[in-house]
Amino acid sequence: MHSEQPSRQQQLWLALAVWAVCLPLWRFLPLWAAIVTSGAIVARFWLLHRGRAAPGQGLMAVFAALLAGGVILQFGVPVGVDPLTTLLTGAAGLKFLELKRFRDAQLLVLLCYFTAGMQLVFDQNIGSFALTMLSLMFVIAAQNMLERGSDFQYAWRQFSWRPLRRAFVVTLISVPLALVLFLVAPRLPSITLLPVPSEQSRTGISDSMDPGSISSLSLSGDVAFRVNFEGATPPASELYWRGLVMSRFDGRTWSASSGRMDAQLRGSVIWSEETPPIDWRHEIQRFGDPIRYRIYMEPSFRHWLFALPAAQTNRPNVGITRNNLMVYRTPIAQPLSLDVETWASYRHQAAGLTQDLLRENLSYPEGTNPQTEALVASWLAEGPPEEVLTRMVSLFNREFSYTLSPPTYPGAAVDQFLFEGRAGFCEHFASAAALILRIAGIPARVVAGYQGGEVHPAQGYLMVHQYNAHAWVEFWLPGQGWTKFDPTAAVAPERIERGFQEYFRTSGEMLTNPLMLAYWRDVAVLNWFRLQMDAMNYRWLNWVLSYDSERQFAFLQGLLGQVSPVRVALLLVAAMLVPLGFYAAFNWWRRWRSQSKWQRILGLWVGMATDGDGGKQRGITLRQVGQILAARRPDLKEPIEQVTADLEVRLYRDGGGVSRELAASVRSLARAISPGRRPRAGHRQTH
Amino acid sequence: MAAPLAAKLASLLDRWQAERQPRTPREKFNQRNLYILPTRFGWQFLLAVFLVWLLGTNYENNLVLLLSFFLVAVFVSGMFSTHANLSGLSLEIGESDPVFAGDDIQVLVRVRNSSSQWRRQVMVEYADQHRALDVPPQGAASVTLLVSTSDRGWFQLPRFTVSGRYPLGLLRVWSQPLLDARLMVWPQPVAAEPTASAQEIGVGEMAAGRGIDDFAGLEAWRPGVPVQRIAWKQFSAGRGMLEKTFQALASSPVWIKFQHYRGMDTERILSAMCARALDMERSGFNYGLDLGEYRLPPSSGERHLRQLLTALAIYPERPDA
Repeated sequence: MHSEQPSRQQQLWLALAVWAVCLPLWRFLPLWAAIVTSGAIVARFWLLHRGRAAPGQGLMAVFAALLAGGVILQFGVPVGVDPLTTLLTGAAGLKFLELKRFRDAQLLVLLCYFTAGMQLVFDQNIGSFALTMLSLMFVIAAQNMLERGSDFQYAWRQFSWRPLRRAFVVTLISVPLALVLFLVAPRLPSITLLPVPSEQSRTGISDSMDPGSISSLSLSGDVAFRVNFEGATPPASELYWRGLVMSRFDGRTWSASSGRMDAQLRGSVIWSEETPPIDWRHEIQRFGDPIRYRIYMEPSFRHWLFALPAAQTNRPNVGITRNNLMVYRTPIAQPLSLDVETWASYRHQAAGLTQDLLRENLSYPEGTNPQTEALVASWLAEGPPEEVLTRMVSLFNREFSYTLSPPTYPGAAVDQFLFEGRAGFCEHFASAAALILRIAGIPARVVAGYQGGEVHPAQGYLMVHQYNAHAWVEFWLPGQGWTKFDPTAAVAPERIERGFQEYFRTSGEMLTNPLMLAYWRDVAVLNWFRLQMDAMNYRWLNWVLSYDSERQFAFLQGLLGQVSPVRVALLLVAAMLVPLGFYAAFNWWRRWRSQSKWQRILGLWVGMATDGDGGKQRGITLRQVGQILAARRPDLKEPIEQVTADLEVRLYRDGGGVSRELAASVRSLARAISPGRRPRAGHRQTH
Repeated sequence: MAAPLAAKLASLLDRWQAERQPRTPREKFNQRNLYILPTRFGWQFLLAVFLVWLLGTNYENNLVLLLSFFLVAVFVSGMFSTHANLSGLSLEIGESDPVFAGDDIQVLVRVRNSSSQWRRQVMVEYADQHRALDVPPQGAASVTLLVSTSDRGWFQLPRFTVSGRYPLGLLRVWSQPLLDARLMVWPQPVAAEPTASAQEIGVGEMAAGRGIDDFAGLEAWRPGVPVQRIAWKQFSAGRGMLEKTFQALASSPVWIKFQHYRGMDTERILSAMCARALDMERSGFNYGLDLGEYRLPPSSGERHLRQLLTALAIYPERPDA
């Protein structure tokens, strides 16, 4: 039945569908992926234009091999989301190039649906989702076009948007059921068959810190995560979002640890769902009431989560390290939300440090920053090690400046910073402070994370931007445990209290990328727009992306009173009936409109014979009307008889209803017969 | 073991369908007589939806899951829209020319749409013939099927299929209406010599050979007229299709009588009478019909021949009854 080749218009719609689903993906894929797919489509139309046959199987095999080779060259082992997606988009193009039978076209449609799914693996923004829905519409339109019959052969320029209109209707009818399925369908735990997408060109904190690595982040206004506090939002000076602890120092760069993150995670993390052989969770003592909040992470493609100190959570796949940090089992490639409890007052490892930890937090490569070592030695000669801290603070306060664009320190970074440049960003201060403390014999480490955040004025949640990236120091004292020390707060307390933006607004150093909305926050309208957009994204995160089985249960309980199969089934049925009801109402309205149009046309026609009486004079038949009108205009006898016959058929066979053509001929005849009257006269006189 | 069971099941299904959808002059599609099942493509689509769902579950990605649910919803709504595309359409069989038993009869199937929407790609299928129709709102579309005949009489149109996959091809909705067609099948003309004596039959007729036909004039051509009667000369001159009519020369009427064929079985007799009538008409005689209970007075011409053949076709019923 469908063995014949798809028509030109069908092919055109298929090409549109392929393009529509691939286009949003190409920003994540190598450029040649776009060239392959688009090239195949263009080649197909060129061949069609020239009247040539599609490439044979041999040539297609060569193309497929080239595609596979390209993927291997680009990605190495073709396992992973990026190579898979590149293959998928390339295959869609090649499939289109060799399209022969109807069945191939149907297969291509299915391929397009799956490719649309890949879009959502890469990006879950509300805007991206809208784009995906749009591209789906084109796929549905192509699918509809396939069903319009192959003899539906328009010429190129007789292109019609009708399939797209149909697709829109299909979408509109399907959305309610889709939403209810989304709400009620049980969620299965992740099976991790496929690896996560690789790191995109995104900004974020990395697991090592050289001078300059954090100040580069300060140029980005992207949101790193959002936080919704259960109670009041604590003041900005208390918001130290810990992400990473860096204990290794090579004289210049601080790093979390050597080796890969996954190797590090093994054995050194307690996962929330496991009972570990060595439990270090008792090393932390918490005092007072917890601060509860929900944190919404944006994809960072890293393992670590950001939280206030002494955090704990019940979420599966989240682990606690011995450094009192939270990590996620896989790199965070999807928006993630988790409920966290933290304590403002706590003590960590106050009882004492193990030998390993002591060694790790005291060691530094001796001789790499000789001037610093000499300075600390002179301080130690003058007083006890505890005074080093106050001396350091007063040194920073006296002679140092806090700036977004410090001089570069290419050599012994800490020496150059302390004795030459004397200007730096948070990482310079943190790096120098930790080193000074270590030289003085106090265990110390650098903590990287975010500081502060912007409270959304309307919604009340906290936005933490990339420019909130920060580095500070934790040092250890017996009996007190790890204590936070932020040298930046000593140099530029306003930076901590009033926030990064406020601080640099006054200092004249600002975000420099005018393409970012955050750059324009002084323009009230644009700032309002930026905040609205963020609130929308937040709701999206909150309601759609982080809707899990736990929230599902709570929501359904609220909606149905009790989650039972019968009630869920009833909800599903209702979801199907609602759009159908709308559809039926729409059809009924159309029928009603067509009937009322029929009444108008009939009224106009009869009204001419009865001098505006319309249909009120019930005694007259259509034939008599025709005779009266024909007597008035004998020259129009033929069209009048034709219209009379048509109206009779409509009235007696169909019981009413009027085609566009018939309405037009009635109106034009009415104009010809009684030119003085407005053709719409008789409007609604009858009913 | 399996084969009789399958046969039994098939006959059971047939009976069920016969009860559900009896023969009717005009069929209007509704929930009672429309059936719906996924197509091959529909199953493939569901498989693709399952793969998308797996993708979403794998990544705990709510949006991919939402996409899979959306596609399920598209499938479900497709059920309704595919059904709605055929529901409410009515079918009837148009007039068409009688044929002789054994020939193919042209069955004009008219699909009428009284709704205000286009009904697209309505597929009318019979044996290996299929045509897709787009039926305009408040309008109709028709298709001609060629159906083979075997028995004379009123034609028993077999079940044929009307189906649709519009708008998305995921599901196929179909119906197999059994329509009452007022179509005539004449007996198959098979020449056979009468068994009665020449004396009984009548001398005039026996003497009459193939007389010379007298050209009588031209009439507008109608479908079903033998090709040799078409006035090709006039057609090539651009005057359209015209039929040459002939006047019979013979004066004495010929009676074609059932009784003349004693000893043969009824069907053979009727076939022989049919052949004879055609022969008489061709030769330009006046001829009449005597079926015992029904008699048709002698005459000639297309109309007379049709009347006669119809009487033969419905024997033992009578056209005037």
